[in-house]
Amino acid sequence: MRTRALAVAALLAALAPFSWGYYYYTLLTNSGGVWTPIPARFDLNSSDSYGLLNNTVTYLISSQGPAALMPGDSFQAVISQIRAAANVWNSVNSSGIRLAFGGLSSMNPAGATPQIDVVFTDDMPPGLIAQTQVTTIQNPAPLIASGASFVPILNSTIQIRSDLTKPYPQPSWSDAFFLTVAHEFGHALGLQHTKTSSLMTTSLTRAVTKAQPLAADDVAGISLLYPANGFAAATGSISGTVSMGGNGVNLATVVALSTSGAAVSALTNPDGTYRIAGIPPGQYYVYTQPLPPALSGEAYPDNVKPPADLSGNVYAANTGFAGQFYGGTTDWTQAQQVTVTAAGSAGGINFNVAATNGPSVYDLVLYSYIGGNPGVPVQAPPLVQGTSAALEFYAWSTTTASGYMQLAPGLNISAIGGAAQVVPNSLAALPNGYPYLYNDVWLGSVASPTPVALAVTVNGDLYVLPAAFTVMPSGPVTITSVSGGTDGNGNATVTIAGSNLSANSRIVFDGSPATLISAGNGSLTVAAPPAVNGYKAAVEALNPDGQTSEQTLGSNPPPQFTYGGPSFPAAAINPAVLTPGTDQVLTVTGYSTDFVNGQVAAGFGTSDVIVKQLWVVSPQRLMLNVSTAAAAPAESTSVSIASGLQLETLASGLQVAPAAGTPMSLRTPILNQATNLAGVPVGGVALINTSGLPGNLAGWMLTIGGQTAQFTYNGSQILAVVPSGLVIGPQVVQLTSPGGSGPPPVAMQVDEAAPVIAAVSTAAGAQMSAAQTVGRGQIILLTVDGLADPLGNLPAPSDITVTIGGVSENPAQVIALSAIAAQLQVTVPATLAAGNTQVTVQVGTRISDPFTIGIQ
Amino acid sequence: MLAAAGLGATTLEQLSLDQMIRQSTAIVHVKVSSASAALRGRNIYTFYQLQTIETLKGAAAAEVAVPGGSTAMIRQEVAGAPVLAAGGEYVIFLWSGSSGLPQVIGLSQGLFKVAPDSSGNPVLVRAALSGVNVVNKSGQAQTPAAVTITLAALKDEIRKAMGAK
Repeated sequence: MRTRALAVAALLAALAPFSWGYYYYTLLTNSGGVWTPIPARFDLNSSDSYGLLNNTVTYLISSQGPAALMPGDSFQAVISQIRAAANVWNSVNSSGIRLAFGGLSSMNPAGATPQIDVVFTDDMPPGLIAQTQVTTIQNPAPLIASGASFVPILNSTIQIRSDLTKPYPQPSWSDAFFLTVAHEFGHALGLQHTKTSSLMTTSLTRAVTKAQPLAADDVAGISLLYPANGFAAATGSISGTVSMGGNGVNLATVVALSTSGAAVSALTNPDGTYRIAGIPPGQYYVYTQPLPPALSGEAYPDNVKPPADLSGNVYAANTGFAGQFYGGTTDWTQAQQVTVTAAGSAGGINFNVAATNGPSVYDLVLYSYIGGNPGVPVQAPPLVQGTSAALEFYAWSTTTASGYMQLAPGLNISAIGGAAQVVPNSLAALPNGYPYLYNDVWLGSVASPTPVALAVTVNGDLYVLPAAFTVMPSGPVTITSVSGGTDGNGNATVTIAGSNLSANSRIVFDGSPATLISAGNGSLTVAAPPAVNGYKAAVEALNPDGQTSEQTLGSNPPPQFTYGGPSFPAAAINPAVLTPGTDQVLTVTGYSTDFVNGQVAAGFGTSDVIVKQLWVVSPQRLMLNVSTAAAAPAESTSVSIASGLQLETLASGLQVAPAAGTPMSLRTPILNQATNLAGVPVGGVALINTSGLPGNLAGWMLTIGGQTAQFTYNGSQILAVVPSGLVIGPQVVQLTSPGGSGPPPVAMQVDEAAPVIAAVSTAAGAQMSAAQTVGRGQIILLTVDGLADPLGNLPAPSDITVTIGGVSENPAQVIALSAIAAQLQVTVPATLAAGNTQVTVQVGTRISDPFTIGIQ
Repeated sequence: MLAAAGLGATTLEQLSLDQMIRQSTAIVHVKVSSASAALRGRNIYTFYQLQTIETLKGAAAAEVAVPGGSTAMIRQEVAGAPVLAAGGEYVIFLWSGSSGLPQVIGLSQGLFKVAPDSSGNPVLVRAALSGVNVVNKSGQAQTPAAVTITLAALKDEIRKAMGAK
């Protein structure tokens, strides 16, 4: 275990105050009667004792994989699904933390840098599917006393059953396995449960899917815990008090429910105060309701660990009150709406609730049947617009003493908002003694997937289930056939046929993404992710509306694809020694490998070595800039190189050298001085941060790609001119002293010249300038030179970012005009102010000079 | 009809009393004498020392391990892990895997506090044993708190379950 000193208080104290919302593992402090929640989270300040490198927490997967797998499943597939589940949290742009695959590990000993371990254990009693242990320091009082705004997480361990066949069959290809692991990663990062049908909601009422695994509440939760990219400025907050008989209600759930269905929540402090932060601007219903009582197997209401103060006093949840909407009503149509603006705060949203013995209804488990007749039961179902559907549901406190459902007098269910309506008088108990209620709903017309919340009222109590179902513009996605082959180099081309497939559908093979080649009449042809000869991958389609082809499978097995191509891939790495406290470049040479850009991840079996940049030079060659923690112990580490579903592992592939003095290092990424992006064209100026170098580099030589580069040095940064004649791509940068010593070499990206906006015109063809203005919301056409790669291929629209007045978008259309020029179609943002504004075009690390246009 | 839904947490699956009886390796009626936390690998467990009052299934257990706890340097949180009171009397459904570590089955599901009822007979108390709470005929929610079963009734259930094996 970690033995670091606790001398981090001063650094932590300097951090920005924590923006509260959501719910975390919480310590409470009270100063002058004001409660301050202190969450546990990873420390993103790398200079702190428990700080992460590069805002990245490494997750290691135990090399002792599951002892038993479902038929057709494999450890490689499990690894792929775990990687996909971790990537869920990497998709949040407004979160400042990233998870990185650390490869397979023997798990002993832990690295010096905080990490997440994923282990498979026999030591998990029946009744548990997965659990996560979050480790913090035992006594955070000194930190809190010095003003720290959080308690650092030292590491987290996700435990998955070693036997994935019994007592709970858990095929890795199932959406349930993926969502369970993604949920546990949320715990590992510091998130607790919420009641918003999000990923961090317990599986009873979770409404997210593998295609759309995060809800607004999850985004708010992770973004408030690890703020980045202006999240607080782009969102607003609601605050107030929940009180009962003049006293505050502790751990009451308060939810801001958008009129379009999204929900963001918080729990109250012991004095009943709350603040929901991270709410997207819009109109909201706000309601409060108690946490559900602890169910069988739960130690606390909703298994939310209650907060404690520094003396160890635990502040348990009060679950004995009736829910209500803001406005003091259980009728959503009578509720007062609250307006949330960006960076705004709506205060005084108070509730005065009535005491009860506990919630009348909670954890409403709701199903419908989709995919034809009889269909497959799907929880929180997608329902097609313009139809009607039957909903079946089971609530934990609405059964008779004999276990059958009965309608409580006065029980009423309504759909909040206008996307759906409960058919009047359709609520009834299911016949034949099944312990479920059902009712019918009419689904209205929607332009986009619209989650619908249900409001249940009985006995003056209110229960709201956000995203009880979602009204979909189109029906479920299915796969009816999978066919294709693999060439001698291992490139597999696969055609997938089915229903509701489109170019926007994502196809995954055991969770690993395929690349779209073409979209035809009801079918897609994709380049499958790499895998070894004979590998069988489950194929799944994920649609942008959140529907997945697994939803309609029921108990049927998924469609599979069997790979041909090369067998027995292997890899070697050079150099084989890492210096603690430095960045350095490694080269991986593969044999029978198929390294594919965007599909490769490398891990080193320890959290003390992270990948900062990775280049796929060819299917058999990688270059990586890695950073090794100064406190990394001297030991041999494993190397894991994953490319899609291929995995090469070197058990002792690298040796961390003993730490010696203050090491010299060139710090990566190397930036373009002009753009601050990690790519520099020939003739451009590279900005290289350094550490441990002497104050004067007179007589030292810098080479880039083997060519001498002119440079200046100010004691901490090197400014170097990138020599001409270099090939586009990664190039090795080496600094050498007159005596031949120097820091380890690193790599930098040498770019093509930046694109140039040659002209901008209106859709009608009028050339634009500062004088020639255009209206907001209108289409403009950009003529841009230098977008294509050296082979003349234009980037996909999704890889091009056009920024107009600070608002970024992808072009709707990209048309080649010549070998040099291309035309981009974009829309002037409606939010811009009148006057001159600047337009830039960016592809990867290349960004154009600004072009000025006038806005009417 | 519909399959039983899993409980979240820490991701749980609800066990019936019959399942707990069958899947436990021991069922013991105990009093907790003390507790201490220790590292086991990278994980902290809180070990509760037990004084056996009666063994209802399997062998007597000297301790039960609950995930999470605090050592001198670190603290581990496990959402949903139960806390046992020193001096408290419990019936515990224990499960020991290949490592031999005795744990409560289903995190908290196999833990029942024993207390006398109004007649002085020992009853096992735990919230929502059956996983459901009830509304009465007038639709009033009954207290969604403890579900109780007498120790004698539990012994009958164990005999029935084991006899039907």
